[in-house]
Amino acid sequence: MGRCALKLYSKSAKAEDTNLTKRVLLLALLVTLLLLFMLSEQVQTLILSFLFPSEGRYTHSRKTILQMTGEHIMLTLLATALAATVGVLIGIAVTRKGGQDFQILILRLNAFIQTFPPSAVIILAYPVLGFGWKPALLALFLYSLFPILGNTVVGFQSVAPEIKESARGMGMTALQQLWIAEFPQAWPMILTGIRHSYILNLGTAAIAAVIGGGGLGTIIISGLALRNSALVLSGTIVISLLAFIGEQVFLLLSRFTRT
Amino acid sequence: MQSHHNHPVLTDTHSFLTVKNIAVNYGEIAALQDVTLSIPANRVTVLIGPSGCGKSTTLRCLNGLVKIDGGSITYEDEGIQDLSETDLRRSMGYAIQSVGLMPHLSVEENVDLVPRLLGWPKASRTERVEKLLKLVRLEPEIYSKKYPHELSGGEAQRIGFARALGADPPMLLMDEPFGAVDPLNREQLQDEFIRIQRQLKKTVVFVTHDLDEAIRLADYLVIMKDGKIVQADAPERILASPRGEFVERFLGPDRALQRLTLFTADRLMEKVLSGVEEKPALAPDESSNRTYWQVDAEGKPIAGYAWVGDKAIRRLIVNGTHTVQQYSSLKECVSKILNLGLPSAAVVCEEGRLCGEVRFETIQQISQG
Repeated sequence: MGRCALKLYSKSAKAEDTNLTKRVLLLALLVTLLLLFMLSEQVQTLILSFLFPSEGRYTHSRKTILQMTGEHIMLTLLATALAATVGVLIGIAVTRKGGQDFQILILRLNAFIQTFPPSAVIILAYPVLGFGWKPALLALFLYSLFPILGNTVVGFQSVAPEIKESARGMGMTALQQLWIAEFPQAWPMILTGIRHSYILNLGTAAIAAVIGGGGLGTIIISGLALRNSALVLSGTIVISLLAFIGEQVFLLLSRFTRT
Repeated sequence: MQSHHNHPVLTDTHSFLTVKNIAVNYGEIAALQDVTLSIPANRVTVLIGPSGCGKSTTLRCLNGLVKIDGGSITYEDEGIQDLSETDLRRSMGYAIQSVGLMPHLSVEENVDLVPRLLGWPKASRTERVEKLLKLVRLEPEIYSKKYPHELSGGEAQRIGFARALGADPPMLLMDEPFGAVDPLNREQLQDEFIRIQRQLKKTVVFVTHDLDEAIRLADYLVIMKDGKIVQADAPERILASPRGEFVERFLGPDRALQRLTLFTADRLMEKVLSGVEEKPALAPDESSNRTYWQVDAEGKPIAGYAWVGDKAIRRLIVNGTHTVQQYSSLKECVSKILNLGLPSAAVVCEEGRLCGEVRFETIQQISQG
C-alpha cells in the first residue's frame, strides 16, 4: 500500500509546482477575505444587509468579530494540539510490542468517547471545571481524540513488516526504529487525523459560548436567541473561512513534510 | 579447533562465532534442537534445507533476533546474551529477501543507515556510500538520489547488499537475499556476490533453499532438516559422500552436474585463438578441440569457428547470451557449449571483451575428479 501511495505522489515536479502555486494563491485569497470581513464592521454590515435587509442589527452588541475569532482559534488550536499530543503518544504506545495487548481496548474506548455529545460533556464537567473555556476545552479534546488516535494506529500498522525487521536487524534501538524507520511512514496518516480533528473542533467550538467560553458561538447563539439570521451567518462565515484556510495550511504542511 | 557432532570444520581458517547445542521453541514446537556449528571466518557458510527446517531461525539466532531457549552462542569469546544487542547487530550486516529498504529514504540515505547509527563523521560516510554503490556496480551519480520505489528488484537487492556492507562489518547475515529475483538476475547477483566476496573476504552466513545457489556460493555447506543439522562440510565433500538417504535425495540424481556448480569459469580458463578475420589463418587442428574466435575492433567476440568431426562450423555469438563471465559456473559453461555446438565457451571480462575460453574437454577432466 505504501508503495502504491508513493507511486501516486510521484507526479512530475512541474505539475507539483503549479499545484503549489495554486494552493498558495488560494490560501492568500482566503486569508484576505477573512481579514476583510473580520477587521471591518462596514464590510460585515455591507454583506449581511445585502443578504438580510430587514434585520435590525448586523454586529454583536458587546464583542467584535475579531475578539470572538481570536478566542475561537485559540480554543480550537489548543484542543487540537492537546488531542494530537495525547492521541499520537497513545497511538505509539499501543503499536509497540508491550502495548499491543491494549490496542483493541483503547480503540474501543476511543470510539466510545466519540459517542459522547460535546454538549453533554460540557454540562457534566461544569461542576468540576466551572464556568468558562475549561469545560469546552475538555469536550473538544475528548471529541477530537478519535481521528488522531485512530489514524496514528493505522499509520504505524501500515509500516511493512520487512522494514521493521531490517531496522531491527541492522541494530537500531527501539527509539531509532520508531523515529527513523516508522514515524516518517506513519506521518501522512497522522497529519490527516490532525486535520480532521482541527475541522471537527472548529465547528464544535461554537458550543463553548453556551458555558461562557467565548468564541464565535457567542454571536451565533445571540443570533439564535434574537432570531437574527444575519448574526448567525456572520459567525458561520468566519468559521467556514477558518475551515478552508486550515485545510489549505494542512495540505501545504503535508506537502512540505512529505518524505 | 574442535569438531562437534562429527561435523568436519574447514581446516584452513579459524572461527570467531560458535553455536553450541542451541534450541529454540515456538510454543510447543521445537524449531531448533541441539544445533552445533562453527562459522568459519572469512568464508561463506550456506544453510540450506526444506522449508521449516530451521535455517532462517538459526541465522536469526546469530544476531539475537530470535532468542535461544538452550545452548550458547559465542561471538569473539563472549556469549551473545552478554553483548549489547544493538552493538552485536551493527557488527553483522543484515540482508533479507524482502530487502526492507526504507521507502522514505533515498538510496544513499539507506546505504548510510548503519554508519549514521554508529556516528561516523559525515565526510567519511559520503565517501563510503559512493564506494559501496560502485562496488555493487550502481553508478552513484544515477542512483544515490533515487528512492526505493524507482528501483527494479535486482537493483533493490544490490542496494540491500550495499546497506548490509555499510559500516564494513566483519560479518554478513543474508537470509535468501536473491530469493525474490528472476533466475537470470539471480545468477548475475550471485556472480557479483562471488566477485565482491573474493575481494572483501567477509565471514558470511547465507540462507537459501536453492541448491545450485548453495553449491555455487558455499565454502561450508550446512544441510538442515526438522530443526537439526544433518550434514555440514565443504560442498565438494558433501557431493562426494552424502551422509544418509535424506542428503542424497536432497542433492538429487544429478550430483555429477551439481559438482560443476562448484567451480567458476576462471578456474579453467585458457588462452584463446582469436582474430578479426572471419576464419583462422591456420585451420584449428581437428584433434585439439579448440575454437577460433572472431572478434570485433574492441575485442568483443562475434563468431566462433571450429572443426567438429570432419566438418567446419561457424556460429554467430551474441554477447551475454552465448558467452559466460569469469565467475559463471562450469554448469553454465556446459550449457553454452551444448547450446552452440562449439567445443568451448567464450569467457568475456569487463565491457564484454573476450578474455579466455573454457573447453569441454577440460570440464570433463575435472568432473571425473
